[in-house]
Amino acid sequence: MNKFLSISILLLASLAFSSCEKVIEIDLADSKSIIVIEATITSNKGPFTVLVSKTSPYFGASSSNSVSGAVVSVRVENGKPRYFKESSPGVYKLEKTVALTNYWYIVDVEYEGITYSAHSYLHEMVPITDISLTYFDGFGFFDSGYKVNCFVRDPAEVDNYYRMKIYVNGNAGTNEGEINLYSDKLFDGKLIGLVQHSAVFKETDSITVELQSIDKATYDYFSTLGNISGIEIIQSASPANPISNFNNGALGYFSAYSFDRKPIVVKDYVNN
Amino acid sequence: MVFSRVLSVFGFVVLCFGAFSQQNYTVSGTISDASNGEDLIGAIVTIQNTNYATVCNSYGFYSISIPEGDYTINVRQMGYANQHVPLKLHSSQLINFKMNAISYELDDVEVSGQRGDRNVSSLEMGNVKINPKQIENIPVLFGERDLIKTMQLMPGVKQAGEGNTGFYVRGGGLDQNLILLDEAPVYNASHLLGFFSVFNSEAIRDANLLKGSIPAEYGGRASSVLDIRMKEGNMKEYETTGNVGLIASNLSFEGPIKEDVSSFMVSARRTYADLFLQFAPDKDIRDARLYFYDINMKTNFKLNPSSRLFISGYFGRDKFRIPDQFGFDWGSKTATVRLNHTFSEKLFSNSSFVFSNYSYQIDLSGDKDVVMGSHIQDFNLKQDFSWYPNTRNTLKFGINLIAHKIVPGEIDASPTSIYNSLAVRPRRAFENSVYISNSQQLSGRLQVYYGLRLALFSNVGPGDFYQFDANGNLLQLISYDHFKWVRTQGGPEPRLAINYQLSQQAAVKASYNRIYQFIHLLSNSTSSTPTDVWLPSSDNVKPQLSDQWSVGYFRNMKQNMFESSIEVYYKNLQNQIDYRNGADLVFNSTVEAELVYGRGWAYGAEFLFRKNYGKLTGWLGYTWSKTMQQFDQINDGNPFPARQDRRHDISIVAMYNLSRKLNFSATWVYNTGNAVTFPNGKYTIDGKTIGYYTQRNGYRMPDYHRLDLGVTWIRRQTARFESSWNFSVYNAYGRENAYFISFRQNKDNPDQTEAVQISLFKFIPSVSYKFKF
Repeated sequence: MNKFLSISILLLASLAFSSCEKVIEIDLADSKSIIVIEATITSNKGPFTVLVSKTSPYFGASSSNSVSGAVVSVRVENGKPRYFKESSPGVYKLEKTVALTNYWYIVDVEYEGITYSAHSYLHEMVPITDISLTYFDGFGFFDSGYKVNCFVRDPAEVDNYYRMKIYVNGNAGTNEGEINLYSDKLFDGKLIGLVQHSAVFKETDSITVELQSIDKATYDYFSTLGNISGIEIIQSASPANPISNFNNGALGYFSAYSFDRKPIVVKDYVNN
Repeated sequence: MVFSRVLSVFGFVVLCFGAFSQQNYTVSGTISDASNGEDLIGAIVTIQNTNYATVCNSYGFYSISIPEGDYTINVRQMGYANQHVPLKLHSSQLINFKMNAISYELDDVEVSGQRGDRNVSSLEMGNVKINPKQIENIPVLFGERDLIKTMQLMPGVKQAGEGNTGFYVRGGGLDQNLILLDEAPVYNASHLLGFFSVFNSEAIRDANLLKGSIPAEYGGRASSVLDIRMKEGNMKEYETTGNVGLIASNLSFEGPIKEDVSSFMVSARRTYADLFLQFAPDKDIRDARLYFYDINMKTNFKLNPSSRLFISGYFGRDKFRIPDQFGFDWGSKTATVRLNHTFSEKLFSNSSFVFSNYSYQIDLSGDKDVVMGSHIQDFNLKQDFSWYPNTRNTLKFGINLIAHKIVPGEIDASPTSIYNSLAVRPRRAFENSVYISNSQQLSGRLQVYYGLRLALFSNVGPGDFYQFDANGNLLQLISYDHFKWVRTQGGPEPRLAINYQLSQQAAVKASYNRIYQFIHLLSNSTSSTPTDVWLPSSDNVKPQLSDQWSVGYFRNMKQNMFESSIEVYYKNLQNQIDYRNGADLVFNSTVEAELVYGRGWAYGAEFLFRKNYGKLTGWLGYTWSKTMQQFDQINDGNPFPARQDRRHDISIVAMYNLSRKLNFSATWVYNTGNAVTFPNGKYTIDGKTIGYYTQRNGYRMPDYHRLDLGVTWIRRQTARFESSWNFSVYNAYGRENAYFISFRQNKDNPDQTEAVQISLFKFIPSVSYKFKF
């Protein structure tokens, strides 16, 4: 809904009114460095990855905030921990492991004597039933091109949360700040067409659509993250840090998810 | 019971002071405009060479009791020629005054000494009166005159954002203003995302904003009252007025149904900003529609010399439509039926039945396959009495019953749609109050006002009510049946004011008022949006409570040519509402679990210097203020500045009559920045740079300033036809004021972050043409 408000304001701003944008200088106070953890495990094959870093001054360079030497582990609830290896500074990996669905998982990150823990529930995979493309004519500041619709049969009587990621020509490429999140609050048990937000694709693109079944904590994290990033014409009056499932004041999230992927080549789809 | 005791105390006080008077007689009647028969609110009636004085009530009625004798009675009203009538008072008399408006051409000297000294003599403080006629020449955005935008130029009133009609009064929130249109509450007073208010100036007779010292007849919002009255319709002759502007036009028609007995007024306005969309290259945009319209109607009948019936209504809607894809419309409807009756020369009664509705509807498919919507609806019964027992006392008392129904959200989906139909159960409540007050002249210099309002709010069935634990987890759901009383909250609200007149030209005033607010707006954007949800108080949501103290010094100079005042205020707000991060406010039946409670306080000083007549008129206002909030769950429990907090506000408004035909005007505003939250650090998630926030509202927006200029050229002015052109420029020196500031990664070097300022409205010229016949 807010998106449509944004569109109408954009429309006004770009057509009826004049608006302008410029980069300005602002003095921002520095704050204490805080640990940031981005942990993901999946039910599919592929390494589990945990990225550990620290916050840095806002106008400083982003690189070199990685945190080395943390002890990172994952366990199933009441299970034994398995330890990650640091493959490059701040990047911790656990290879050759598969997580089973319908369990709670716990990630622990120990650094400088403090252990940061988070829980995430690994839901059953919800398969993609179909993918279609629609041509979008463009609107105000929005570019024209193809958009992806991803269809799923939503399991009835349970709360489901989804995140759609789109890989273009092998890269996880979506627009600046775009996070495609869906909840079945209004569609429980229906055949749902999930429409992605602002990114558009060219006829020459080949796309892979990844549909993640995520838990509520991950959904809450990314939806509150969406409030402080991306297009915001109706300005949030009080931006706040996203709701993290980590304790002890760490930023970031831990998401255990399952996913389904389907490829589609734009040219082939259009020619059919 | 409390109330009857209060009543008897009041009676005692009144009788005590009445007991000293000798044989008194009463003069009463109405005061109206001679040219069109419209009632004049707030005209001052004085008895020459005595201290006897009274003020017309909001229905144009006055009553004054004085000892037998020979007098001269004076009637004064801003913008009208004074009237002096000899009076031989040997029995009670009915005198209706018809006042003649002063036209601009009158020589300054002639007018001097005739203007009101109301600023000094009345008990009112923190009061802003606006008459659309007086603001006609003030330049505004897109040339669309708006009384709310003029009001925002007064000290203590802050605009919610560039070009926005939302306003904050003395540190109060956007939802803490009671906005009344002919006594009907207006729940969303803005059009087109806040750039225009719903009040079409052509349909408005006058507006009165009460920032403090709010009398007992008003209640329900914690910070202020904006009382707007529609025109009643010319009792003498037909009149057509039209305004053609760049983005909106309006047309009004008024006149007698039967001369001096009944009249009507109809006014309609529509924007056509979406015509610009025709030039867009994209077909969807070309076909898109985005406009609003509103219609005001009013009619009134003098049933007999002592009764008058008024019926008025407002209907307005915004529409946004992309054919076959999406539709969104929202708006308000209000209706008022009012009966004024004079029981005797000392007792005046007003009975009103009021309806108000605000709704929005979103058509998600463009073909009504899936429609979501929400609305809030009120039925309101009011009975008010004004009783003038003797010269020294004016009593007002009455009762007000409001039935609220709020439908937080429903979805109506066809079976084939991907949506499920859904409805969050309506929330119902009664808001009932009784009040009594007295304005009393204790001596020639000292006037006091004391009043008490008892405000009660009751949740009633049918509906679902919830119980939560401290963390917001649902413990229990209880469904109540029809007319089942669930919970009653509220209490007494004392209202006090005092005026000590130091001289004819100077006075010191003080006031205190307490007000409960039972319905609350949940919004997390910097301005009001059409989908904002109103939430009633309940077991989980305590009513907001405000206490305001203010003191002021008022001084007029040069026979009231200059008015000046200094007012200081302190406001304490309890049970303020905010919500948890990530709260889901839409289609959420347990939204109460997402709320957090805290307190707020605001204080400040307001300076106003005003020149009321002459070739040059206008005012200079300055406000120093501070507004703070504190919530245990926000900002680590530390107090933080509210988003409307800003230290300095200056506004200058000047209008200059060069000749009968040419009027120049200019406004200049300056304010230091609002409080805003900026990041104090950054980190990377999902490959994107994210800001790290440590402090709520810890930063300030850049200073804001702007100059607007306007010229009105009266092309023709005859008895039968009038026409004028208005040219204006908004933001004349093109200052790039920050509308908002966002933070992002540099496009060329994602490793770097930058702050970006977005500005709207740089140098916006506009032209409009007005005619009247």
